[in-house]
Amino acid sequence: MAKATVVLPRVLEPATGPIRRLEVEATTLREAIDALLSELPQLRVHLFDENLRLRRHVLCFVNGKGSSLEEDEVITDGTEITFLQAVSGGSA
Amino acid sequence: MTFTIGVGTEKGGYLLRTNDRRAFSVTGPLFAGWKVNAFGRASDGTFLAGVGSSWFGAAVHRSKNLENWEQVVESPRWPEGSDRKLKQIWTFHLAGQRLYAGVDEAGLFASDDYGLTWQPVDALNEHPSRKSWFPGAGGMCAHRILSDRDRLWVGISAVGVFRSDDVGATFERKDDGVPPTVDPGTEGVDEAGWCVHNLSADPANPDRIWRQDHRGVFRTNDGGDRWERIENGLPAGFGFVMARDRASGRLFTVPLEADTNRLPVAGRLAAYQSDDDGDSWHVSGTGWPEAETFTGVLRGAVDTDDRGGLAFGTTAGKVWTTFDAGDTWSELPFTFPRVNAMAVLES
Repeated sequence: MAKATVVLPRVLEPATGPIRRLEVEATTLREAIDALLSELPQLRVHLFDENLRLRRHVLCFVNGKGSSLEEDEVITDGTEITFLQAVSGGSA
Repeated sequence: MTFTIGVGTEKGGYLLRTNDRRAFSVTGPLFAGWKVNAFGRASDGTFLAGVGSSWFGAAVHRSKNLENWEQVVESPRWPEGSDRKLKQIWTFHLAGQRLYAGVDEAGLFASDDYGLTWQPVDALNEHPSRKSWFPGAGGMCAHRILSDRDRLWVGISAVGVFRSDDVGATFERKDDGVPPTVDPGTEGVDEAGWCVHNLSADPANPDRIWRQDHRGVFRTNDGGDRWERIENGLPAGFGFVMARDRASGRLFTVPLEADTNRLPVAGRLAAYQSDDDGDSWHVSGTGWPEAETFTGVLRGAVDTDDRGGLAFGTTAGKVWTTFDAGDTWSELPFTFPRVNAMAVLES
């Protein structure tokens, strides 16, 4: 098991409370996401759509590299999985 | 007792409180940065909020004290693999012990555990006419729910009003007398295309319902089997508000210039009131701005305590209140983001 860190944007605080960083233990990226959703199940609806795909305007970076989370991959100690709100749309 | 109003806006929720019904204090924002489209209350007193984001979807939040809120994990949600998107929680309605939530993309969900878990009401959500449903400018949302014993009414924008006579087991559309918003002859117009904007019922006679529609103001005396137009005295038939104060029996709406403008006619912002169940309308009381005021009031942005207290919020973020059933109106000093929802939470 590797120890990875999930980083969440501040805008998700109404869902998660003050949790911005969460340590998870996992072997693969998919397991890390499962661990995140096990710890914070209220995030599922905010990160994933009805087809269980990453929401259109939600970005995920694994060690700084963009990921759609469609492909699984092995993670190592120190892996950082960062979710961001895409700068998209023109709504006020 | 403290009078508390929940103000749901495009950017967070706010609480307005007053002890003397004159001076208000404000707290917030709750759910900073998120849209708040609905407030509600369960039968055990739990407060509810419908909170959403264009980026992160929508969910129900619960609170026992209006201060600490917790998101519900099993909020209303379309099944995995569905091509429908749950974009916003639009309304809550308490019918006995059961809670209902109306959502966009149009659907009805029910909760029997004070809002902790929600189940789809398939008879409406999978209605045979659904293939003909389509969104209007404001989306396609189930935004108004009324109930009376075994009966339910659900208003869906751009679709119509549906009535169930068997606690939600079956639904039938009830729009006779109201013109559709699409041209006759358009495919599917016999099954959808009625753009209801708001509904309000008389608890003493639940068959009597008033309707602010895209096409005007209407009333039914038979639970929706037949609607009649009632616009005598209104400067415009368009609008989004329909509220009834139970104590006085007065009706209120805020007419807007239809439908390309959606602002008060000639900038004269005012609620209009009917003292005769909709037979005639006139400007409600006093207190309205002298200067032209170009702002609208949205469908969820009005509520009453049914004891003469009424509040509505505008798209310009201002809140107006009356505590004498419309005799006098006051504009509160605060300015909020665009107001989506108003709810009397404590009175």
